[in-house]
Amino acid sequence: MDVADIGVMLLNLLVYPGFVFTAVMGLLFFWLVRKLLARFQWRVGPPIYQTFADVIKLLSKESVVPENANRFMFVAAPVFALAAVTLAMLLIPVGAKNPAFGFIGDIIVLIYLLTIPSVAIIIGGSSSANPFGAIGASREIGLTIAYELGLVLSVLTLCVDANSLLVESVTGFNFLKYPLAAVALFICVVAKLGITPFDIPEAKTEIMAGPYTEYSGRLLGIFKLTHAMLLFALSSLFVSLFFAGPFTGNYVVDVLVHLVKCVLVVVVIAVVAAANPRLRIDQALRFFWGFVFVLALIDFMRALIPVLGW
Amino acid sequence: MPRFATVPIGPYHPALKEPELFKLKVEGETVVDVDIRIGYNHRGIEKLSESMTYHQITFLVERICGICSNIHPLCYVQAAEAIAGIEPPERALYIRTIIEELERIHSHLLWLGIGAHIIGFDTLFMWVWKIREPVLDIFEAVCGNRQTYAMMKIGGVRRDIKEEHTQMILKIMDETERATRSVINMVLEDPVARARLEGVGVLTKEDARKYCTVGPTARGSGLNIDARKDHPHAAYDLVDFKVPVMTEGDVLAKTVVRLEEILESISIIKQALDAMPSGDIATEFKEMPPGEGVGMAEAPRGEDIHYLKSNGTNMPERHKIRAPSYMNIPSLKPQLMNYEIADAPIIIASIDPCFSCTDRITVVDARDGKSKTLSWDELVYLSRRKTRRLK
Repeated sequence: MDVADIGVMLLNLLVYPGFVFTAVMGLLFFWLVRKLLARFQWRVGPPIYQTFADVIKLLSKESVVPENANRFMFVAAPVFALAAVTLAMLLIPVGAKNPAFGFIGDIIVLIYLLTIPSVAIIIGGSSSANPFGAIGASREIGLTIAYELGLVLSVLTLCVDANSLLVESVTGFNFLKYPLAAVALFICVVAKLGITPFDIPEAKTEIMAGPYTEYSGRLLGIFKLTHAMLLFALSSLFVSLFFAGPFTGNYVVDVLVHLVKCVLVVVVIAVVAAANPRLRIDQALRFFWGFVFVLALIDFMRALIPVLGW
Repeated sequence: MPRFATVPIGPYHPALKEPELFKLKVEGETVVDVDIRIGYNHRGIEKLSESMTYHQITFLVERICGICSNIHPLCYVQAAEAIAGIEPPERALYIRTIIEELERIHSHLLWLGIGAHIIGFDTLFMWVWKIREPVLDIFEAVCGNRQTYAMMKIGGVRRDIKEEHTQMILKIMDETERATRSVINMVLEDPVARARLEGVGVLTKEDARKYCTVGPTARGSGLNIDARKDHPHAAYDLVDFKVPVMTEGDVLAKTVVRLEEILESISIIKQALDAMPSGDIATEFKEMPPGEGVGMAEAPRGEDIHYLKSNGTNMPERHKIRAPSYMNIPSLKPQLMNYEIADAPIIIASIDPCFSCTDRITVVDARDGKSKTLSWDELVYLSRRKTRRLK
């Protein structure tokens, strides 16, 4: 690997499709969710720069670390989360069949990277020495356990179908082939983003801000930014896995088409958020291990049976 | 690691619009004990009222609570009329009824919005508050104010409901009725909302009776009590209405009771506008003889009682207020036990607590209450301080 390769990789990581691109798109998408929610609720909604202003304001403010908190864990958690999402963007294809940086087994790494933000929230919440943080963290654990099963199973369906663990060979227009897995993955994406009806860990009318209760300033800003980037990363992943293609060959057009599809996914997320109250954690667990699991399992078996030759 | 954690809800908490403290002792997510502390909102209104003239007090008690800003003046003027032996004209009684029912509609809609917000159903929250807005417009047109209407007066009411108001009220009531019916369907048919409300925070009929609950909290648990039926005041004995009662005792039952009360209120308002005779809106009130009087009315939260003692001067000797939330708050203990933290805010909200009404009551036995609510830490601190002093 020579200097040029490293330079390209750094550019991929920091600018496109990594940090800068994801952050800008994520904040725009987040504004879209907020604006749509507001319109559904007969409110005016925020101006387009609101999410940027929020994050910039938070990033320029001082962070207070609680006296009793585990200082290292408390500070490290948001940074880990941000790093994981940035890295994950290298493995998620944007407007193409292959990601910026692919290797054999990258889909496993991708799933792990996308789990890290949840783990970071758990660590951050439980290290903050606040009862609301602890309860929020325990709810996040419950929710993560609930949705990971459906998420992994629906991604695995495509892996079994493509007989490959490469992101590159898994992406495609798989929706018509495995609609149930797509629905399952979509529900899991909503849960992973912690959007109503699955905003259980940070249920503000119940437990203040849950894991984020003690976070302030820069650290909170990093968490918010991570959350926005995760919105773009997950909607990109969903589009790439189930709605990718057909590609025109012109990269710019393909990326734009991809973004339009992502926007549609975000619109559906906003509709779901507007139409539902928040579930309780036990109800969410039952929902994911029952309904979502069955959805994902049906398509998984449909993919598995031809492979096994039953 | 202790087995129990204490989760404070309040004194400042996003789910509570007023400062109160509920200390939940939790095991995991399950509530095993509750410590309710009130008194953050004490303003000494009863004492203040003893240094004001009878006319001024009407406006003072109006400021006890922002949401039921009509019910306290109504109770107060009824108590004062009972002492002075004044009969308000019939038109005034009808106007009092209409204002009271409009207040019930806007209060219940406000509650439903907050309840929806608490279970994370922000869309319903915004929609319900949009339905509520025209009701406030009626107040603005009729009374000149969206809140604190200043309509009540010893001997009658201060402003008349004019013909153009009648048309406006009828039109808005029709819209509100249609919107409320669709909201009822929305709440009852949404599976997630049902899952969050059904079987949660059950208050049994025995407990409801034991804790002396009033209003929709009692009626949701099968107790058929309503001051409008049991102690008819204003024009409630002249109109026909039902008292919705549910037997389940859970949050859903209390919600349904309130929603059906909105429909009943709309029907009462229509009847009252129809039956209202023309004539004076107030009888003259000249002087207050010595004596005692009680005024009661059904607030949106339950029965409100004002007791007034006059010694013949222009200021009362004693003015005692018992707001409905004061009766309902202790019943939160059996309602919260063994439910989850996630359910706690909606359970607390389900009695529609009005803390600013309640707190002005607790001062009556503040000395007893204070010694009872000292926590272990505070006791340790007191004992240590004593030791230091002795050294």
